[in-house]
Amino acid sequence: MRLTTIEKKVLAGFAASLLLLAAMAVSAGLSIRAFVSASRWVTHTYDVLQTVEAVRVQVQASELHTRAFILTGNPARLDQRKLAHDQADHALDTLRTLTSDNRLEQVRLALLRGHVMQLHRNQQRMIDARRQQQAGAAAELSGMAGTYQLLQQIDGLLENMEQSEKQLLNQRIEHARVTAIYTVAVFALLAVSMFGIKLYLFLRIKDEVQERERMDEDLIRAKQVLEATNKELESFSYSISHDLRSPLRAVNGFARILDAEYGSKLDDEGRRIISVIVRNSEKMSALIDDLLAFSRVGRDPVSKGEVNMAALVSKVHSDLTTASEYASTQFSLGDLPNADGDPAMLTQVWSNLIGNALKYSSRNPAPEVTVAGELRDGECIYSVQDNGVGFDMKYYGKLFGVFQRLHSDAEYPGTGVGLAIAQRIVTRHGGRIWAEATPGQGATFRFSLPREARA
Amino acid sequence: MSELKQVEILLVEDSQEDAEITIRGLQQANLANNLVWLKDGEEALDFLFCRGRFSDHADYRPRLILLDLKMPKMDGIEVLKEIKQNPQTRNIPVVMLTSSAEESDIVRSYSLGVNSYLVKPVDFQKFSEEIAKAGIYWLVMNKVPG
Repeated sequence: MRLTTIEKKVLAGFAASLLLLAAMAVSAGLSIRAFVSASRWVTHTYDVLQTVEAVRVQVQASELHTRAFILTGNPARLDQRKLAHDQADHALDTLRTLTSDNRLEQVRLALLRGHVMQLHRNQQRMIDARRQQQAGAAAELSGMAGTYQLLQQIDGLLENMEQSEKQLLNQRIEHARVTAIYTVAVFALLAVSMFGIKLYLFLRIKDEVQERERMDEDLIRAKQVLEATNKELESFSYSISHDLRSPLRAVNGFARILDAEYGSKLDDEGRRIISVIVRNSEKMSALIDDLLAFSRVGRDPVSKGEVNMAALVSKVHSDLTTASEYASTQFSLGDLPNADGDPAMLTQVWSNLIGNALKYSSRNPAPEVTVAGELRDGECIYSVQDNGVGFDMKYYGKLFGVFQRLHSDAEYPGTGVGLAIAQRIVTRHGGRIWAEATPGQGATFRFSLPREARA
Repeated sequence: MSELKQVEILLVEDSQEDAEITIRGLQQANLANNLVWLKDGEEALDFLFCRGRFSDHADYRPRLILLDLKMPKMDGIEVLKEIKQNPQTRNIPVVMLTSSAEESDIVRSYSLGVNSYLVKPVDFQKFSEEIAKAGIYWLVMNKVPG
C-alpha cells in the first residue's frame, strides 16, 4: 500500500501521540506508587510514635504502682504494676518489629530495654524491702540512687526515638512532594507535546483539505475546457462531413458527367485520367467517412448491456461475405462468451477485425479465418485469426494508429482507420486490444472486455 | 414557360454544383421536366406561399420538395418547419438532402415531420440512383390526399 505524504504524517503524529499517552500513563503510575508509599510511611511513623508513647505510659504506670504499694502495702498494686510492666515489655517488642530496618533504633531499643529491666529490678528490690521492713524505710528506698536517673534516661531515649521518627517522616513527605512536582512537570510537558502534535496535524490536514479543494476546482475547470473543446471538435467534424464532402461530390459528379458526355471524344489516356479523378475522390470520401466514424466513436456514449457475441459475429460474417469475393474463405466460429457492452460499437469492432482478416488472407489460395473466445481471470478474451500476409512485429507500434497502414493501398485497399476505431471502442469498454503476427503466416488479433458482476 | 405547367419538383439547394448533379440524376430517371430550382430557403417559402417576387404567380404547389439542409440565411430545418406548420403545404412530401448524417439533424427533421432523409453520397453514380429512386417513390408510387 502506498501512502501519501499527508497520510504518513497523520500516522506518525498519531503514533507519537500514543507514545506520549503511554509515557503519561507510566509516569502517573510511578507517581501514584510514590504517594502510596509515602502514605504508608506516614502510617508507620504514627504507629511507632504511638508505641513509644505506650512504653512511656506503662513505664510510668509501673513506677506509680510500685510507689503506691510501698506507701499503702496494698497487694493489688503489685498486680497492677506487673500488668503495666508486661504491657511495657509488649510495647517494646512491637517497637522492635516496627523499627527492624533501622539499626540506630535497634541500638536505642536495646539500651531502653536494659534501662527498663534495671528499673524493674530496682522496683522489685524496693517491694521486697517493703515487705520485710516498715513503710518509712521503703520510702527511703524509693529515693534509691539510680531510679530517678533511669526514668530520665528512659524518657530521653523515647524522646530521641520520637524525634528521629518525625525527622524520617518529614524526609519522606518531602520526597513525595518532589516526586509530585516532578510528575506534574512531566505531565505538563507531555500534554504540551501532545497538544503540539495535534495542532500540527490539524494544520496539515486543513492545508491538505484546502489543497484538494483547489485541485477539485482545477479539475472542474479542466473538465469545462475539455467539454468546450469537445463541442468545438463536434462542430469541426460536422463541418468536415458537410463542407468537405460537398465539393468532393462536385469533383466526382462532374468527372463522371465528363466521362459520360464527352468520353467518346477522348482517347484512352483522357478516359484513364478521368478514372483517376473519380477513384481518388471516392478514396477521399472514404477517408472522411472513416475519420468521422473514428471521432464519433470517441463521443457517443457507451450504452452497455448483455451482448450475444456469437450471434453478432455470425451476422457480421454473413454481411461481409454474402455475395462477395470472400465467400470462399473457410470460416470457423468457436464458443464465444457473452459480453457486457454496446452492441452497435462491438459490431463495429468485429466488422473491422473480421473484415481485415478476410482482406489480408484473400491472397492465400486456401484462406482461413477463425474466431474464438474464452473467459479468463474475469475477462472475456476474443480472438480473430487468419492465415494471410501477417505483418512485421517491428511495426507493431503503428498498428493501431489513425491513418497508419502496414500494406500498400494497391495490394490491400483501406484507409488505416479500422484498427484505430476498434482500439478506441475496446478501450472505452475498459478492455485491451493486441495482436501478434508473422510476415507471410497470418495474424491473430485479440481483445478483452471486463466481465461485470451480475446479481 | 415551364412555370406555367404543374410544377412537379421544387429543389431548394444553395450549391450550384450540387443542384446540377441532383438535376442530372433526376434527368436520368426522366423526372426533371417540371422542376423548379431555388437557391435559398426564403425564396422557397416565397414561392410556396406566393409572396415577394412570386406574389403575382398562380398557385404552384409542387408534388415533391427536395430540401438541402445547410443553406445561408434560412436553413432547411426552418423551411421544413414553415412548410409543415402551414395547412396549405403540410401534405407536400419533403425529402431532406444533406451531406452529413448528423444524428441531431435527423432527429430534429423527423420531429418537424420530414417525409424522408437522404445523405448524399459522394459517388455520382450512387447519388443518381438514390435520387432517382426517391423521385420515383414520392412522385409515382406514393399517394397523398387529394
